[in-house]
Amino acid sequence: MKKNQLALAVLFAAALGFSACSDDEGVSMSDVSISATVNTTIEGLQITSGTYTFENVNTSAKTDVSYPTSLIQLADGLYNVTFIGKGTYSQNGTSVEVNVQGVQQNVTVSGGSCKLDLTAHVVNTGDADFVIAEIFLPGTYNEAGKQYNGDQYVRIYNNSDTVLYADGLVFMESQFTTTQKYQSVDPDIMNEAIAVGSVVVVPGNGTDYPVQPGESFIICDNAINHKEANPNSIDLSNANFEWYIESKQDVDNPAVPNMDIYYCYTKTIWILNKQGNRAYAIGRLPEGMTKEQYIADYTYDYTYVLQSGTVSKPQSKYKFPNEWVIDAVNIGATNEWQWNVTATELDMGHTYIGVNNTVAENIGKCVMRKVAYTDNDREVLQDTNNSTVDFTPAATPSLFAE
Amino acid sequence: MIRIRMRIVITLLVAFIGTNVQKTVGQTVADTLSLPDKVSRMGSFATGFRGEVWQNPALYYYYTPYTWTSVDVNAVRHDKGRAALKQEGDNDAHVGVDVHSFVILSEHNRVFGSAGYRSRKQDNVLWNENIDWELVAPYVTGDSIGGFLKGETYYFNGGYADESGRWTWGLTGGYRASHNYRDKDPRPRNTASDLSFSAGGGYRLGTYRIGVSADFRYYQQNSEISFLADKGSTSVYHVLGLGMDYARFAGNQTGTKYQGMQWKGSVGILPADAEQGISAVVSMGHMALDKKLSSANNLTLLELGTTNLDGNVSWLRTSWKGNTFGVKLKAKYTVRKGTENLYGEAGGSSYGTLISTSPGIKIADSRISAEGLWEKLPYGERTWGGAIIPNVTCHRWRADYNTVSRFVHLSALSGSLRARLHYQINRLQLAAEANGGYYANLSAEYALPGLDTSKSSAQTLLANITYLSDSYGWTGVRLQGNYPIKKYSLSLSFQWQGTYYKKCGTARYAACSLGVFF
Repeated sequence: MKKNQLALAVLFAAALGFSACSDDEGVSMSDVSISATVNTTIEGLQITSGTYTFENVNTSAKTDVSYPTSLIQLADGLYNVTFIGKGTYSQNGTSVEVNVQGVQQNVTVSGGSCKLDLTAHVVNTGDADFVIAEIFLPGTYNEAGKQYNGDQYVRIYNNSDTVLYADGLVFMESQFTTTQKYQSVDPDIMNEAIAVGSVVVVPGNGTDYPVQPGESFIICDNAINHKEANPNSIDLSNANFEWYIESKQDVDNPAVPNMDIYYCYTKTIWILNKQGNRAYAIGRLPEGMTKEQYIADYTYDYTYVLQSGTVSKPQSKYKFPNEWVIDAVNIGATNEWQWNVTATELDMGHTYIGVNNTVAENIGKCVMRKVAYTDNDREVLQDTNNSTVDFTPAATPSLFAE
Repeated sequence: MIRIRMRIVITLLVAFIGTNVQKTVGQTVADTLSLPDKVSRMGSFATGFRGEVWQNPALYYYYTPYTWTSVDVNAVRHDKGRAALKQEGDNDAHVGVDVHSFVILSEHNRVFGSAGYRSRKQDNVLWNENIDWELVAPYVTGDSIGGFLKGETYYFNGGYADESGRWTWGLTGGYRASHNYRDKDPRPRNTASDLSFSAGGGYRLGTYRIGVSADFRYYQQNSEISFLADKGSTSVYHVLGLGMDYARFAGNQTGTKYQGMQWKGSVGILPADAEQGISAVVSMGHMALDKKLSSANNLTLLELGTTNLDGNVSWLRTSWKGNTFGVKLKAKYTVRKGTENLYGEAGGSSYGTLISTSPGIKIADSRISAEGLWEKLPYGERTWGGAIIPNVTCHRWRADYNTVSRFVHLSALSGSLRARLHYQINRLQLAAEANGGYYANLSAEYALPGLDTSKSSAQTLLANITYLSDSYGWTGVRLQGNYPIKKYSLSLSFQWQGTYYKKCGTARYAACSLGVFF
């Protein structure tokens, strides 16, 4: 019997010993070779410095890598990579420095090694123009705690030091959402134009609506005092323009000029995407382009393939060429964002109403462009064609702060 | 509601089957003990002193040499205040009924079983919208709003054991169904089913029996969180532990499913006379549990592997004067290792393919304790008795999350004493028990780089660390009376305990029970 007890004691001791064992597993790492090249017509432009930021999609953790590092080790995962840096070129014997940025989304790092060739672009070298300063999408709650629609608005800002005219300025909403990426779109026009579901234009003959430097104007759906129906809302009766679709459902304030509807996917009321998962842009039609010509020549007929492999029926919307675009902003909640629906040269990042696409946390919030610096009393807003860094997400709308 | 009623009916059926078997069969075996003596023995510390060795259904054959059934209606209220894990709420109340039965069918076979129902309410539960926290933690779905959780549990277990010569074998099967919910946003609704089987064998070798057993368990939990208020939804998070969450799936992935299987084996030794000598048991089990997002095509988000290693050695001896002495050394080690699945580029409602896995949190919990026992039961002409149980326990708890360089390491030493006095006045048996002890934190180290302390999840983590690393003392009393009426012994008991923390205030526990034993 003593043998039995001894055997058991040994077994018991072994069991206790097991508890002291360490069997930690390491994180799977992969070698990532990285390079960045600038897509530009400027001859001799070379990147001189910068930082790659690898944002882990699964954890939101960020890893910064300084240029010109060409090989790093990274934990396996899915990453969005941003490069922000500087480049120089020679002009008449003088060295000129420019800002460059690039982005590559959904980079898979796994399997021991992978390669990343990132294309960067020169940041806004043109003259300052209008920019989208603020987009308020989710609406408000009424006194009963129910969601109230109709008080969405967009603020457009003269970011230059000269008077600009709003006449003919185009405002558009993307057709595709940032939260649903297709397997493919045929034809894929993203590098040439934005696929748009709504295109509205500020009326005027060219000089009817001057906007002073550092001033902004408001466009909205219903330019009425929403506080009368909902004390939690705002007074938009002083908005500069509204988009009104002739229908039984939409409301028109005759005192506020209506925008010219070139195209809108709906025949009732155009409510901007409340979830905040589309892109918005402003632009100008080229000289001589008429509404009729645009409508006739810029349709976008396409099909798309879902991730499941299902092919869509033929679709017909409109496109707005990238070279006509002045400013574009991609919006998408971090938890659902899948891709940008505009070309990288228009917007290298994306901003969000809320980190997560949940109504109760996002209601009453907007995306607001940051102030880069102040020139005397004029605020110059940040415009690097990267809405991730140019915008403050989940901000308090300016009209609510008044 | 229909399913709930069916479960109640099944539960009651199991209880009454056990009772009827005892009436029709059990009494054919001559029980030499009187009802008060059975009551006294069943309530004694010595009966359950050997602990886990009884989990082998073959060795459970020898649990008691007499037939018995107990029915208890009980109620508990535990006001924990700040001395609680936020995920378990600061107040816990439940009422329930439990039926346990052990029936000697004949000289060589036994049946046993249990069934029960429990209704529970937890208050102010934060960062946990699931049921069975202790099983799925830390991989719960949580949010900063939380609130109360109301729920019910039904369970039944049944077993059979048979002795043939030197050999004994036994089988048990059990099922537990639980659900909980909140009828206020956010509205979790969780249903859990827990199926278990165990098979064991024993062989008599001299004055000892060697037993081996194998257990299998299948667990499933379905969870859905809904928002019905006009204001819409708020974010829910898939918690990874130590203040981390799976950021990619935060927000509105509200449907989850847990599926797990457990295998367990044990080797034990039990004296042929279960009341005298050394017993020992070592058991090892592993449970693999997956957390899936049912709202994303059952994508397997996380995997949790829990390995348990338990062992105890106990010695009991009863002298001819009725004094029982016992010593028990017990060790328990549990390690939970998480694995996070990493998915590729999303498209539409698809989250791409699995591109890699990353080791998640590792939680190791180890305890070693030494316990003594002296007990003397009222028996025959003796109208008084008593018992003392001293206990010393070393506890070490380590949570490491290496991929984010976070850890919490705790260690503690506790000592306690339970003392019980039995007294018999005519047919009334009285027992008064007092207990007290002190849990001294020996070390508490943690590093949580990158923790944003303005977030609710971080504040919850820090509050939990404060609680877990606190030192505290406790004291309690328990009073019980048993009174036989014909073949039944009625019992009534009250228990109260106060726990006094250095930093986390006071927690109070109160329980009462009304029972019948026969």
